[in-house]
Amino acid sequence: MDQASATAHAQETSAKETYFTFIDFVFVAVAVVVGILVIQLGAHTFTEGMHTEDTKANGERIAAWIEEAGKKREAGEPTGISACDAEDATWVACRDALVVKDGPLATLKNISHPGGKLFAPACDRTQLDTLGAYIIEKGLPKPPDGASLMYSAIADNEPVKEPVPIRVAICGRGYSQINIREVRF
Amino acid sequence: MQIAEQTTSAPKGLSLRQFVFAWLFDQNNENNYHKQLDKYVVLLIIANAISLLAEQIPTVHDPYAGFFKAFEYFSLAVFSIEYLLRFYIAPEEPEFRDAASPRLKYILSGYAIIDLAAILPFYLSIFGVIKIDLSMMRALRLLRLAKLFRQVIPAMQEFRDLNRGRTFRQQVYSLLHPTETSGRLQDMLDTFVVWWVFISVVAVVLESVEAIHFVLNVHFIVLDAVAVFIFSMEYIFRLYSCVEDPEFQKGMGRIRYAKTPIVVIDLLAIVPFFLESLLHHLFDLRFLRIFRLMRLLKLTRYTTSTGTLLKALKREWPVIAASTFIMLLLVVLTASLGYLFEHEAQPDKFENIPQSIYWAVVTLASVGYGDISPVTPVGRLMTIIMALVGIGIFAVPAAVLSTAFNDQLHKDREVMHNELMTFLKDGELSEEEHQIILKQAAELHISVEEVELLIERVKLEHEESKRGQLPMDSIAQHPEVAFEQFRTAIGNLRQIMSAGDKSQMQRLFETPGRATDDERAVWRQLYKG
Repeated sequence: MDQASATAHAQETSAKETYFTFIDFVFVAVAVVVGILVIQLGAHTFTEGMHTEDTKANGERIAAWIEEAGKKREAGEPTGISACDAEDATWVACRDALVVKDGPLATLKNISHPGGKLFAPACDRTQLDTLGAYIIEKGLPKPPDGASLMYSAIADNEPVKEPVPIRVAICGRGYSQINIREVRF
Repeated sequence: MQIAEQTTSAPKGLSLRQFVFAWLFDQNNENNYHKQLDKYVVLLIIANAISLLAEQIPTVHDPYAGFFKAFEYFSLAVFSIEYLLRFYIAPEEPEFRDAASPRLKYILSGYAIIDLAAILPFYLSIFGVIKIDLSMMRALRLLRLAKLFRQVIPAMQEFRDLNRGRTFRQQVYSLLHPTETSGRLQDMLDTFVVWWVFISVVAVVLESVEAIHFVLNVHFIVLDAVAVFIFSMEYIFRLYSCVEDPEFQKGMGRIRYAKTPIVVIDLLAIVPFFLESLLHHLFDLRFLRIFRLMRLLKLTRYTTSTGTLLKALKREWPVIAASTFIMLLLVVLTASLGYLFEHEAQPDKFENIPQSIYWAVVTLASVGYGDISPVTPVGRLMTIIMALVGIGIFAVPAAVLSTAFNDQLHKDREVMHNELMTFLKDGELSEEEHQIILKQAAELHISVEEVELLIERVKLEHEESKRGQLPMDSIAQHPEVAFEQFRTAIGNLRQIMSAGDKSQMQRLFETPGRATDDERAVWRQLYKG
């Protein structure tokens, strides 16, 4: 059957049928709804993705400050933050001093979850406010060779004295930890 | 080569402009290079879009900035040459030929404006006429995608013509399935979906690389959302239009269609997106991402290979089942013997028979990781024997499957051969029939060269078979030939008589009204002889 006769045949067979029925309308409506849903969900996921990107940029700022401060500490110079330079300085005091009004990271905030925690020891699905939080972990030699490091949460009252490897991470979408950078403080 | 010969053997005295038109742009000439030109321009447009995307990513762009720039200049040169050539041959184009000024009409045509918009800003920028910043320049490069309209709009027009008077659902069906009224638009849609399958699968694979995911997180989100949008629309409209297929017209056709494996795959390709988007804060659904690789299975719709393999599996299932049974016996036997001989020497590795099964399979399948191996002399001897037996037994299903697959391909090719014979009954192979054969050949993974050879062979076979049946006018003009043909016919009659039941035939000939007097006379004469 050539194309012309195929077309003629097709047109003949459908001549008596309605072009657009109610069922057609229902399916098209479903397609439109699903399309809108995908766009909405896609836009929402995109917004969350952008929040994660901003949080990553902030995480990078934290890592940059820690790295810079680490270099100063190594050279025997003060970091410029008294809560970090004091003899009895603790991690929580040092970290919180960074984000106070006049601190070097004063503008830092939880972008993904505005009411959530700013710092968290780890991503925790059971604690919804850890979404978008910044995670600062301490590196310890991994047994048995000790050549590589394993990172874990830093206790709040741990003293800031010895030089220590630090990993900065964030709590991303779906409560998955995204590692930013490993630095030395 | 054939094309080149045909083109260059075009009527002599063509001007250069006419020659260029006939060689590269004449849409009515199936033997020139216009299809190839269109194809490569489309590929270059797609490559431009990919390059544009890659340039957005500093980690990809920065180390290869020189390459990206060279590619940009190359694309610009190709598109400029294309534009100039189209401008040059405008007086030959049927669309512009009759205008007072064909070239002016060409310049003002929609396609030409798009073509110019795809290149002009860059020349203006290069020569310093206007200043365009980088982001704007990149945005302008997106205009090149509009060049695809040159392919899509005629295909849409063709689809509209083919489907005039048909219902909306019939048109959707034609758009999604290859039918007589589908035209080029359906091919384009298929290609579009296949491209998106590839893009989304590559994205899923790259996402698993932490360093890449870290940089391209947002790009992956956008790609996935676009892919899901396309696949969702495809799924819904396939479900909607499936009732046009006679197989799904009666009963709960759509539900039966939704349960077919390929449509289940279509659903699985989109479901992870919805689950992850809606429930990610409740459950850790990152594992669902890997299910997006199921999209690769969508490609089975566009190739007959999987169908051929399934047919082969179905046909050889009893043999495969039998050899699998023997394999299982061998595995259990080897594991048991391994346990028997090695348990005392290595109780931690051959702790029990189920644990020994791992070692048995690794040994019999010739994988041999080496994490568990026999140490006793008897155990080693048994392993040597079992490994040698295993090589033979484990190879059986593979050999059976491979032979069956090959046979199935041959059968499918035989079907195509028969169809070709049917097409050639009238001695001619029309362009449409030729295209059908080429399409079937592509599905059977036969190259164009092979098809052309097959067509030649079938034509010769057809000629051979025709030689025994000379046309009547030819016989009438040559008494000698007529004499020989007559003798051959008598010989054939004698053969029929000797092969058939003579008494039955005699009865039929003598039955009044079954044969003419002349036929009866000939029969009697031959019967006496």
